[in-house]
Amino acid sequence: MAEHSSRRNFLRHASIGTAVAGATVLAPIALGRNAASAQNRTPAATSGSVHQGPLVAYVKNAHTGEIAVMAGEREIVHRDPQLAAQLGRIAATSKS
Amino acid sequence: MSSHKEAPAISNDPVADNTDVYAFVSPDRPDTVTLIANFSPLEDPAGGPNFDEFGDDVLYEIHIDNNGDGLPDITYQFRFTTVNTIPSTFLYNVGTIESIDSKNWNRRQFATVTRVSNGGGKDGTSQQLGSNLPCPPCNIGPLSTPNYADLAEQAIHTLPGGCKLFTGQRAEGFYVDIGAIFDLADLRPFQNLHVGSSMPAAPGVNGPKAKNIQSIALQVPACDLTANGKAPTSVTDPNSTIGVYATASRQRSRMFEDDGTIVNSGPFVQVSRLGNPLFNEVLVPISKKDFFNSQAPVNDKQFAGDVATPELSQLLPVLYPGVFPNLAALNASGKPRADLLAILLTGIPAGIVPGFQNVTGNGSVQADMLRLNMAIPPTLQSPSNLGLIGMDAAGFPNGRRVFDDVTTIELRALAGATYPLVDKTYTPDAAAGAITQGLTSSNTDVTADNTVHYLPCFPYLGTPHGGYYNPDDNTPAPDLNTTPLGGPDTGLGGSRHGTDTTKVIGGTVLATAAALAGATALKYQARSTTPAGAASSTGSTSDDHTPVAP
Repeated sequence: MAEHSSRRNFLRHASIGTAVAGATVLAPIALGRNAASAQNRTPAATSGSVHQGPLVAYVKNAHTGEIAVMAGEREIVHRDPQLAAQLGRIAATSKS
Repeated sequence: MSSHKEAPAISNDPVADNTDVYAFVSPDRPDTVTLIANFSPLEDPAGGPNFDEFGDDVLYEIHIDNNGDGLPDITYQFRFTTVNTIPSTFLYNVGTIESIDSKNWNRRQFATVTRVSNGGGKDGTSQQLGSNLPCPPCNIGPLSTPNYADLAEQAIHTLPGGCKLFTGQRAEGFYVDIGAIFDLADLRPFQNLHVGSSMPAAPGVNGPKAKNIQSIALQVPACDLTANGKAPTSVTDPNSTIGVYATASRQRSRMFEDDGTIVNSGPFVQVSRLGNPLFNEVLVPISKKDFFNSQAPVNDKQFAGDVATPELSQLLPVLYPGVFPNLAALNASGKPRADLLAILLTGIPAGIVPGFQNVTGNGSVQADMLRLNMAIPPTLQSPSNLGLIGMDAAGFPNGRRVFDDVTTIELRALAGATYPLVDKTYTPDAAAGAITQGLTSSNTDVTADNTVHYLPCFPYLGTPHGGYYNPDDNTPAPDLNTTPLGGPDTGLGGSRHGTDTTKVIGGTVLATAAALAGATALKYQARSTTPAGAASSTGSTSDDHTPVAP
């Protein structure tokens, strides 16, 4: 149950984009997946500064791993099938 | 209507709903062009306490294509910021708003306008023309806004380079018998001929009567819009013609927080667009309307089929049996409507209407845009509300003026009145040149009900209707077994006495298109002999709305 709660919190923060929390939660996961799919990842996901404002991560296509990360008036399309799949599993879990 | 609530999705987003676009050589400043984009359809003047306004979260744009590639070369961007100066009150204003900076005025809106050329990228530029430019309040009533015209005057801003800007509420200038048209195309002046109607002919009823809109009006020197930076002087010079369209865009993501705030994220995505009036509304099928609003004009080839075989043209002979036999034959032939493709998607090339052209570029790119040949001077005396088919080349589809009866023009075109432009062997049905909404008395009538509010100068659309005086029409719908005779007499509809079926079918009323080319050329030639900007006295005296005896 606690795990569900935690995942729900993650999903809420990551997809609803509640400011700092969303960014800080999403970023470690993305970094954690770096080694597995580096060829599919934009350089910004592995290094550099962390966005501090609200952001939205939108899994546009779970099969291709296409994730649109929106912040301010920008959109960065990030391709990471494993992260997309993980988010998909979280979403499926949150249905219960 | 022109583009009011024309697609399912945008119907639910009024502040982003582009209702009308106008582009015309300014009649009082013929070295300038006035561009108007209206939003927020069918505003009720008594819309308090939260009166209508622009969306702070909407990117409004007016685009200019000056080389015919279907892509914007110049874009004017408009953003708005709203401020509550007295956050402790529920009121829009706490006293008379006596000036544009009145302390009694609580909820105020400010505009920022930016000119972007060539996309603003590496080879482009972006210049902010003005910021924090106050919009006027809405017209509330005699206690709150007693001197509304003065307030509006204070909201006309002079920008660098000789531009003028107004952003705020105006009286709706578009007129249409929307209730009849979307009741199975039952035009009231002709409803005695409609297959499903047992009602006698009646004058038209102006649907958007006494409504307001939010208007963005920008007046710019014509030389600012041309590809070569020079003032247009020659009708045949490709640089003289521009394509104009407007868009509204929202950020891709919108999040509703638990505290009532909304967080928008991501790039702006187009949710509304408008070039030619009625294009999306009447030509594009409902399943593609939202998609159309997302698309750029450069991709409009994908909608050419909807223009080439318009559904309404197919319906007219069915709805009005025996009235449109030639149109029925044209429909049956399967020939594409090359006249409509030219008028709406490429512009009319040289050689079709002598002395006139408004094709953009080489005409190879099909794009829904208003096309304005800026070298054609404004018609100052007796302009025809039927524009080019009324033998007035300064009006629609050469750009669009606020009083142009675009609904009648396009209905006539759809009925085949303009097909002789591309096939001189085709004879339009007499009815094609007689179609009217019954909202004006003649071609030169620019006072259709509620359009008396037009102004002779910028921003051209008139003082908005006030909330206090908002008309209250509680006329009940007719009971069973009574025959409605049409709405109130809302105009001097020439066909109010009914239409004689035999005369229309027999051809007593002339279709204008067959003679259009020559007549237009004659008029333009006559005007071109007068000094630029001088009044032309050769305005059409024809009256296609001449009452027909019952």
